[in-house]
Amino acid sequence: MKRRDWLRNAITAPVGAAAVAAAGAAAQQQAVAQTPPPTNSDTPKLTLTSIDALGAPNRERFFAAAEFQALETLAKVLVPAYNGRPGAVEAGVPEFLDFLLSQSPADRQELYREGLSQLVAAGFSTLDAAGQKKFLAPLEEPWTFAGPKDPLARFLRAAKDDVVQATFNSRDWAASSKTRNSGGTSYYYFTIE
Amino acid sequence: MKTDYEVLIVGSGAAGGMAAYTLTKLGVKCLMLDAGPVIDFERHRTLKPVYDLPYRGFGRPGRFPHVTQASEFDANIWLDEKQNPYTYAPDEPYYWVRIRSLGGKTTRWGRASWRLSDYEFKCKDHDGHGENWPIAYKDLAPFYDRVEPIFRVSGRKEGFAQIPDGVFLPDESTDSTSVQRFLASCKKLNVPTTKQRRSTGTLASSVNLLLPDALATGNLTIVPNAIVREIVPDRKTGLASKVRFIDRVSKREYEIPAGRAVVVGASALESVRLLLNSGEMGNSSGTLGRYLFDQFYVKNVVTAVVPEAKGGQAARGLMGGGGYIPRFRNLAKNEKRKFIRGYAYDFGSGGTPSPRLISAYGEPLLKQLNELTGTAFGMTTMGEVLPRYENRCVINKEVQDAWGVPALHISHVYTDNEFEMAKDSMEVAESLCKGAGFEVLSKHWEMVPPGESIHELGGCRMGSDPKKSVLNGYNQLHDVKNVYVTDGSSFVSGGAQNPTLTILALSMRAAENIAERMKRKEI
Repeated sequence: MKRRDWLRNAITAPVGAAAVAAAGAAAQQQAVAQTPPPTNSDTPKLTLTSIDALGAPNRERFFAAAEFQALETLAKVLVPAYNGRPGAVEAGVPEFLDFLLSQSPADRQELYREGLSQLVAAGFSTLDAAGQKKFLAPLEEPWTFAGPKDPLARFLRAAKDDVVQATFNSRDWAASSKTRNSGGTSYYYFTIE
Repeated sequence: MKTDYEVLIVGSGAAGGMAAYTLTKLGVKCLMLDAGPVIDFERHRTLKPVYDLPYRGFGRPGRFPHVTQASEFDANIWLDEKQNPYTYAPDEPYYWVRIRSLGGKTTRWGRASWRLSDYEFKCKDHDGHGENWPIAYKDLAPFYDRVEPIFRVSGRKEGFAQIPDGVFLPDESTDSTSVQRFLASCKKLNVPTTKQRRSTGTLASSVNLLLPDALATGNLTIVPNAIVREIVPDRKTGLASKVRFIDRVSKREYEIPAGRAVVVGASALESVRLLLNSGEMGNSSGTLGRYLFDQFYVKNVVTAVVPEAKGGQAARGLMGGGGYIPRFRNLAKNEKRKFIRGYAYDFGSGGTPSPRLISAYGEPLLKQLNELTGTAFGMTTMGEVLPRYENRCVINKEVQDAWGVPALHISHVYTDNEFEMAKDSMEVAESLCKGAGFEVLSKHWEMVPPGESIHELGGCRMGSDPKKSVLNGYNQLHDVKNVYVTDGSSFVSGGAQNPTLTILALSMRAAENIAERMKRKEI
C-alpha cells in the first residue's frame, strides 16, 4: 500500500466507525462525552518560554568567587542603571559573561583572567569612585584601531565592549525600550541538514 | 544512469548559475552539481529577537575564527570551518569566507554592481604593471548590458570612464542634507560621487533570478549535496571525460561522465582547488594557483558625527542615505603618487557611532550615546590589490576536509602599494568629512586581513599567452579545451569594484562560446 493511500485510510477510518456506531451510541450521548473528531489543532502552535526568559542563574562558574565579584563591580561601573534603563548587573551581564568566557578560546580566557586578577589584587570592588576612575583611566584615552599594548588596558577595552553589548542585547534592556526591540530582531537560520 | 546532459556545471552561484541560465536557454542540456544543501527561505528561518539567542548575539565563541560577517542569527548558513579546513603561515592570516548552499554566495552578497573598465582590462597599458586581460571593455559591455536587467540593477548614469554606465533602473532618490553637504565637499576636492548601483529585490540571487528560468527550459538538472573532488581527463585526448563527486550527507563516492564540456564555477579558491586536485589540470604554465588577489577593505576608515543631529535635534531630512565614490586616483597617466591604481569608498549617513569609539564609560558613556544617536556618517575604503606571482594557493597534502578532499594552503599578503593606498584613503576621507562640517570621531587605515572582503580573485587567470595564464579570453583552459572556469579565479586584475557583476557577464559570455563551439563540433 502506498503511503498516501495508507494516510487516506487512516484519516477516513474513524469517521466510518463513528457512523456505524452512531445509532447504538445515541442513548449514551447524554451521559458520556462524545469523542471529538480530529481537527487542525492536532498540530498546534504551543506558547513556549525560552530558557533565557526563566532568568535562572548559572549553576557552573568559570570565574573564581573573587574574580566574579570584581567582574560584577566592573560591569556595574561600566554600564550602570541610567535614565530608567537597566544596568549591566540588572541585565544579568556578569553571569552571562561568566558563561560566555567558559566557552571562549584560551587567549580570550587568559585576557579576562589576567585582567580580573589585577582588579582583585587592587581591591577594585572596595575602591571609592575616585580610585575606580583612576584604575579605569585607559578607557578615557582616545580610541585607536590597534588598541593599547598594556594588558590591563586591553582587558578593560574588551570588557567594555562585551559589557555594553551584553547589556544592550539583553531581554531586560529590550523590555525597558519603548519599541521593545533594542539589540535587533532578525531572521534566525536553523541548522540545515 | 542519467547521461542526457551535454555540459556538466560545478557550482550554482553567480558563475555556475549564469552558465546554466545561458546554456539551457540556448537548448543545451546541463547537469549542475552543487556541494551544498538548499536553503528553504520559508522553512529554514524565523524572526527572533537577539535576546532569545543562546549567546545574546555574540555567537558561539570560536565557531568562526575567520568569518567576521557571521552573526549568531545566520551562523548556520556559513561554511563550517572545522569540516572545511585550510591553512596559512602563522604570520600570514587569510580569512576565507565561504557559503556552501545552492546559489552560493549570491544568497548573501552585498549586491553592489559595478562594471570594470579598460582601467582594469588594459591596466598594463595604463601604468605598466601586471598584465592586460585578453579582452577589452568593449568585449564584455554587451554582456553587462544583458546581465544588469536580469539582476535589476538600480543606479544613476554619470559618464565616468572608470565605472562605465549601464542598463539601470533609474535611481531618482533624493539626498539628505548631510549627504548633500558631503557631495559638495567632494566636488570642491574634485572627488567624483554617485549613487550606489545595486541589484534590487527581496532576494537577488542565482536561486531566484537564474535557476528558475534555467529549470523552466527543461534542460537543467540540479543535484545539490554533490561535492566534486576531481575532474578526470581522458588518457588519450587529455580532455575532461569524467567527474568524481561525493554525497555530502552519506560520503558515498560516485563517478559520472563529464559530458561534452565542464564549466567550473565553484568560487575562485574552490575552483583552483578542484583543478589542483585534478592532477593540476590546466597548469602547463605553472600559474595555476598564482596571482591571487582580492580587494582590501578599510572598514569605517572614518567615522564622523553630523553636529546638527546631536541630542535628537536632527531636522527632518538631515540624516540618511549614502553613496559611492569611484576610483579617482591615478586616472591620469602622469600622477605622481606613492602607489599605482586606486580605491573607492562607500559612504552612509545615519546610525549611532559604536560605543567603543567613545572614550568614556558609565553614565558619561550612556549620556554621549544618547547625544549621538542617529548622528553618524561613515566611510569604508575598498582598494585595488595588485596580483602578485608570490600570492598563491597550493594543496596541503597533510590536511583534508571532512570528505577526504585535500585542503588548500593559502599565501596572500598585502604590500606597500596597498598600505600607501590605505593611508591616502584615510587622509582624503578625513578631509572630505571635515569639508562637510562633520566632526571626525575616529580614523584609521588598518585593512582587514586578505580574504575578508570576500572578493577573492585570480589563481586561474585569463591571458593571451598560454605560458603566462591558465585560461584564454573565453574562460577556456588553454590546455583542456572542454573545461571552462568562469568565476572570479579567472580575473587578471580587479580594480576596486565589487566583482560579482563581472563574474556574471564573463560566465554568460563563456557559456555562449561553449554553445557556439558545440554547434561547430569544436567541443
